[in-house]
Amino acid sequence: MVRGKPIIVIEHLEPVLTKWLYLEYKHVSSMVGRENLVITNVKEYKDRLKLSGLGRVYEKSISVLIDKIEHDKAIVLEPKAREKLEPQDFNGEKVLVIIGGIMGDHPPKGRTWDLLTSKLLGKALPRSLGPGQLSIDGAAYVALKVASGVRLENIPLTSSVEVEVPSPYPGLKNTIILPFTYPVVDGKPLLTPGLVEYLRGEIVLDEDDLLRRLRVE
Amino acid sequence: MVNIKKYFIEKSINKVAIDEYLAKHFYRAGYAGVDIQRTPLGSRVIIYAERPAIIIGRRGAIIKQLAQIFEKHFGLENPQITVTNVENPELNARIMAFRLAMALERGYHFRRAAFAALRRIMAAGALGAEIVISGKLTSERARYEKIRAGRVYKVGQQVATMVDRAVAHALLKPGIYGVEVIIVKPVKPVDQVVFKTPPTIGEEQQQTQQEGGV
Repeated sequence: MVRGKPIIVIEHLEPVLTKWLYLEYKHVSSMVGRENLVITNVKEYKDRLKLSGLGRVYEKSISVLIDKIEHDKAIVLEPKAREKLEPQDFNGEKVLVIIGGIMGDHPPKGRTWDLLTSKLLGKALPRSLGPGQLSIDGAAYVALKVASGVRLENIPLTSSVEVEVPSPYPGLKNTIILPFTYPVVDGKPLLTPGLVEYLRGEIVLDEDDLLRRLRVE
Repeated sequence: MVNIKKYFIEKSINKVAIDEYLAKHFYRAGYAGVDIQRTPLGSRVIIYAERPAIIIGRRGAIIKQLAQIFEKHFGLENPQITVTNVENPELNARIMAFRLAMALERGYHFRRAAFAALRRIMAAGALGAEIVISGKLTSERARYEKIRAGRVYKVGQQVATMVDRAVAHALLKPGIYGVEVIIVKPVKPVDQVVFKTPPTIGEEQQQTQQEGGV
């Protein structure tokens, strides 16, 4: 059976394109290449412009575009799916792997089902990556590993990650805990490149800006 | 025969219900806790708060309402309410958690507000403190921010005697933030070991002579 490189489709489901989200999309783009990444449902023109360097970007949702994108099989990564992702799922030349562009809650709210999978019933096969909640780039990495023939149970994962953040005051220790599942590569969790630096600095300014904007609205 | 276990469990449940009611309605008054004592005349309710005036109300209007609520809804007999000030509010986890939650609701950035609260706690003389803020903003992942200073006990007998822990919630437009405050009070811990320097021969001789020895 023919097995080609899958095309990753990210359905952007957040109202704002924050730097964190952009970093995760960028990581996926660096893993699959610009030609194999499709980002859909990007409503804002400036966001489409910003993301155009990472892959093909569309304003419409994948639920509308799925018939227009040439493919043999489509898989939607859904945490609630009964069946787990298997290497056999990638049998075919053009396999679309659809990932929800969602920044997760803890505990998860199950937004992927409400916003994505429920609209793709009959068009894409729902497949799970296990009980843990993965990041967007983490899910793409695991899907690519499975596509290369590795079984899901043989991919090492870690349940949460702690990031030390420098404290502005001496004697105080600041830690950020990310309660998500991350794939382990060479004994270390595969974090989005640039995320630790972002968490250590710029995020405070971005959050201030976000809070101000939300208050005004 | 009166079921003794049931009686005490019901009393404790009632106390928790009163505590939750007061915490919900008076968190802006810096509510810190409640103590309920039975007296021959009825029950005595002592409410601890940072700003008792808010709980008392104008000419005791709120306190009178509270007495009625305690009697009607919580089944307390003839409640006599006293509202007292908290001696050191910075060392009370509940007050600090509520203060932090209010700061977040007012729009302060959570990391800055938590640092300010932690420094206040430590300045008040706490041995250690930890603040955990959890939640998420729109388009950001949910995460926990843990800020810690000094020694924080998590297990053992000392947790019961020295550690004060409280949880508060701040409702913001993007969602709910959870605030957990742990304060280690300035009490001598059991595990504190001090090595005494052995006295020199001269000092030992002097000490023995003072004690009336040879």
